[in-house]
Amino acid sequence: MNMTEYENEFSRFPTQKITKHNFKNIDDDIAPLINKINSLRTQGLLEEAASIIQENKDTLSQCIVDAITFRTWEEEIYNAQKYAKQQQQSIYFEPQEPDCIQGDVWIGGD
Amino acid sequence: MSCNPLSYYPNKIDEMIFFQDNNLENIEIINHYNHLIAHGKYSEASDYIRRQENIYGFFADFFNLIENRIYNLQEYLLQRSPKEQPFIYYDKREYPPLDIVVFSDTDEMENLSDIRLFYSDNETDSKNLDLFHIFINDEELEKEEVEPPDINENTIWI
Repeated sequence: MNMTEYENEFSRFPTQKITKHNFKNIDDDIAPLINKINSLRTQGLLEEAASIIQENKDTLSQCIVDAITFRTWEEEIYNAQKYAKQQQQSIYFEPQEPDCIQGDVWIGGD
Repeated sequence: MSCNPLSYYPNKIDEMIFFQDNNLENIEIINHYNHLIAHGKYSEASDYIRRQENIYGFFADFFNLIENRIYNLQEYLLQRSPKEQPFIYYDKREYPPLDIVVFSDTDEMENLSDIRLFYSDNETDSKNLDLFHIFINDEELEKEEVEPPDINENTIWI
């Protein structure tokens, strides 16, 4: 993998900062929808539950943290770390090749 | 969960949360919270858990805390001006490491005695390049100047 490449499946950094969800705990306003989804899941009607989730994606996004959320955070942090490293050149004096990014200097090796 | 979701970075480093599992000391609080959720009393459950201290869980405040910290860090990084990175030329075929030549923009060699590696305020700790000698097969290598291509005032040739 090219160390200068960013991960852009879920993150747009540094072109764009993270989009905040402004999460909120489930309250009585959204409770009927949540109860309906849970009921369908309990009955094993997973596809129907997934369909309802998809239809109410915008509303539920503030209340549900799923794998995509964690993947997004991971990418945002990963890209931020890469961007920060590229702000300053590093010079390594190491016998083994270090974890360089483009523009760094490695002095060493055989 | 008494968790402040705001991030104060870069004015200060945000404090660690030390997220942890709940234990027997707060099992009653968690059970009551779960009881309210099981009965569909979501708003009441949310208000109840917000008033508790030293309770950790997957609540909105904690997730907002993470996103706010990422956002502030990214904003801080994007506001910083990029640092110019000196171009490095290293010809491994002819010049071993530690044979360092620095060119100015007038194509004149700098005085190597002015260059110090790992410089510190303590003069005895600094390393003058004159102290470096390079031997290949017991024969000391003579430093010779061969200009790298495309040099400029930012070029460091190693």
